Amino acid sequence: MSTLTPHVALVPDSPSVALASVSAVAAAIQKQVTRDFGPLWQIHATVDAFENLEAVPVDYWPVIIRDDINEPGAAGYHTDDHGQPFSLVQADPGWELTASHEVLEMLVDPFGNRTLAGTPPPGSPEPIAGFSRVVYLVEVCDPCEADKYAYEVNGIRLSDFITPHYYDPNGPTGVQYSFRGSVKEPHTVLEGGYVSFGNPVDNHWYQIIVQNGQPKVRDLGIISTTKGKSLRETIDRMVRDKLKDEYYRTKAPISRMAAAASRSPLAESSAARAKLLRTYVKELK
Amino acid sequence: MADEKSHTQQGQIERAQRLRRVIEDLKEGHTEDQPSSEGKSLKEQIDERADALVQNQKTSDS
Repeated sequence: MSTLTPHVALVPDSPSVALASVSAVAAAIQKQVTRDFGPLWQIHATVDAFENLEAVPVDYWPVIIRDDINEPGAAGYHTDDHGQPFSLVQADPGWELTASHEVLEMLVDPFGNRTLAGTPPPGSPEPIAGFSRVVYLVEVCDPCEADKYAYEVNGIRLSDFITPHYYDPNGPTGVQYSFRGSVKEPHTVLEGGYVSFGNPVDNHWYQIIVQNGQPKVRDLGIISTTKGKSLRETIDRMVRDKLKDEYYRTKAPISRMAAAASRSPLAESSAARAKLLRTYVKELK
Repeated sequence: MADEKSHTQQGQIERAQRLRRVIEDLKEGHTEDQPSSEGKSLKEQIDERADALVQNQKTSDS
């Protein structure tokens, strides 16, 4: 099978976001994509860090890390005015998990319009619950996006993700529905996660969110036009309109000190190895 | 070769500037602005322009 390999660029765009930490995260996500994600989604991709936006080759999809994304509508997935995808990530504690979330979702649906049909999710409202088919917006991290389901790669916490079996029409069949195995049935949502789905007849969209163990329905309304934006951006905007001033995708900016405190616990062992290698190179010279 | 490199860098710089403009718009809450594509995909836009050129050519030939 021959495919076009997508290229993702992780790039800092604020002075307080160090290239060194972005490089470490890019390496971890590259390992996640090659080892965990790619075999399940049949995707081969590269993930690299770049010093600044000016250094990013034009065919790379940028994931931009900044410390000043305080506007709730700014963080997350977007398409630029040439229709190309990019994501904005707020450099708050745990931004590595968010970056991984954005990269994985971008790889499966770079243009934010991919939908798949399936039976309605548990907890759907009437009359949706009685339908044989709804359409799901393909977002591979949302149902299991909470930190408690994340896992470490190179000592960095990255997002769990669903597998293509998540969209299977039938119930449990003994296959893997999420990489870490926390999702036990198709179309289900874990604590702190959500799934977006629509009625294919009238294009009325909903989300099931799970908070404190309880599934809740968020009724987003009918999408009559996406106004030139992707379905994913349109749904994000509808959610923001619903939530207004509530927390959504951003947290308070962090200080440089707090960012340093969130460094990988493996940094110490990496530093020790670097010291050893330098000693070895010195001896060779 | 030097020109090619310069052109490549210009493309990257242009995109960086464009992305920063888009980000500033987003930070100001302008999330509903109509994109310059008027909601069409790049493929649709190119097809439309190609069709228009063909139509113009047919008109001028006749």
